[in-house]
Amino acid sequence: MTHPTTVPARLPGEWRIPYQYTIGTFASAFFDALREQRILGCRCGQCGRVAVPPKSFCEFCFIPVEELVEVGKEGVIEAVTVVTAPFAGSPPVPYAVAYVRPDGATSAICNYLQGVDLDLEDGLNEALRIEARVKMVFRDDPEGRVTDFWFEPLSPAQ
Amino acid sequence: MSGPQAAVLGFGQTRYKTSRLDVGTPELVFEAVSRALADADTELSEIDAVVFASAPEVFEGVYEPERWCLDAFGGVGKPVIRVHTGGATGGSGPLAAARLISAGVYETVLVVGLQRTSETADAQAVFTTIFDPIYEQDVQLNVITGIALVASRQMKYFGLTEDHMAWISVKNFTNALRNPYAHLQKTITEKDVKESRSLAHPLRLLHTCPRSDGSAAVVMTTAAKAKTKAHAAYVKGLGCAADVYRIGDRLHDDESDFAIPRAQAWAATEAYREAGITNPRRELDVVEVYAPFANLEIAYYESLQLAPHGRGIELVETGATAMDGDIPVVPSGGCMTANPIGATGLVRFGEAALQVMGRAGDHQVDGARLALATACGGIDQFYTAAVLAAEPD
Repeated sequence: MTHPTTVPARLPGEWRIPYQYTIGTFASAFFDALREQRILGCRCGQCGRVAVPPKSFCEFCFIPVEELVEVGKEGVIEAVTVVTAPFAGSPPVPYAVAYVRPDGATSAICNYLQGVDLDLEDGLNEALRIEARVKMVFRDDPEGRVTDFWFEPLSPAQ
Repeated sequence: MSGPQAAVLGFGQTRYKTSRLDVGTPELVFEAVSRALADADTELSEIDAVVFASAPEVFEGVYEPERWCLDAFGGVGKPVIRVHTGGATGGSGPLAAARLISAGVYETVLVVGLQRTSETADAQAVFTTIFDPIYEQDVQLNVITGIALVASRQMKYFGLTEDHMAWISVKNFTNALRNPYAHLQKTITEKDVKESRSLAHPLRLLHTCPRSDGSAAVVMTTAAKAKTKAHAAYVKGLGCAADVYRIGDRLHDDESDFAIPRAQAWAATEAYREAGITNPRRELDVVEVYAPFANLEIAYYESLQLAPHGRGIELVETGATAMDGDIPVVPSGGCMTANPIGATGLVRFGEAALQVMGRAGDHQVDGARLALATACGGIDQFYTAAVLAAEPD
């Protein structure tokens, strides 16, 4: 009688599958506007909500949305964290990520928050507080990705 | 529910570990399923259908794990249904089974949960792929950053502090010491929690869950058949609900504040209505909540109506949810001490069943008659709630 080995092995494997994500005309318009340093949302013709980033329907009214609108290049922090542990593919730590509601919008958009002291020794910097105001800053060499812009404190960091 | 009441006959689970190197994935499933059948005093031939619950298969690296594991859960010749609601999968599985039983479609259903999170080296890289590729993946969101963002709002608007989170961690790790299946079994102090490695402010290592390999299974049937068995837990009420996909679309007013998960409240409200529960804090004896992060457990106290809106932290401050409190939460240690993701909701359900059967061993809540089990998935998007009782209707 033969018993199984007591030194179990592992076999290496890998998933490497390239994709081309189809994003549609609304998201394409959003990225085109980023190149012009503008932020686009969409306004529902029925409830008037302005979603940023835009999509071609309103989940509240469940009807198509047709109107793209420009929203403010400033906004307010709705949620924020400073990431201090590196994960696969993440930028060098520490870095800050925030959801910001642009002026004139009824939803929030996520991006990196830069230009702030990220030292956590004495707690979060005041500029990283929910309800603090930020501005959108745009790349000089846009790539057609959401990282063509980021947030920075509206008033200089303390 | 109309139709036959559903019941839980038995529960089987594996000892949760980072890696179960001694078994392949179907073999891990076989272990849980054979334990559940034995616990339920049920033969495989009595199983009319199987519900298979596993979440992102990117963890296992094998697409359609329900095919891979089919013979290991005894699915040959039977109807097999896979459910997938992210982390809530293990909560959705028994919910689907109970509905099939109450609809009279099948009499006896096996529910199987599986996840191996250690087959790939970086779980957070897997989690990045569950975010929107157009607007969110480029910002490298993952589960830890996503829940840190929730915590930032709980701190701003709901009085959450590091002290509250440390208390939850110590409570759950202490409970896990009495659960032989828990992955993390170590004594920790609030100081250990506060000095553990910072991951994403305000979350630290000891506020989070481990990555666990594991499988779990339950056998469910009609209440009429369950009455002929030595032990059973009876399904009193079920609920499930989902929320909008993008986090930014969940941040619009007090009703959707991305701090107190509203979809968990919707799911619980439905389950309480079916169960005829009007005062959950008073009527429930024990809660097995799916909260992989310390801050989330406190948010759920409010979603589950264990505390009034805005007062979840009071259950921490009064110690109400400790083992010796009036409403113990996760006597098993919960998913902060073992998290085989797609199976985790089923573990909560199975643990709640054990509690009302009086068979939870060293972590039994004395005299538990009515228990709640929940599950959450998809970064605060999918939720389930199930009320189990010691007695049939």
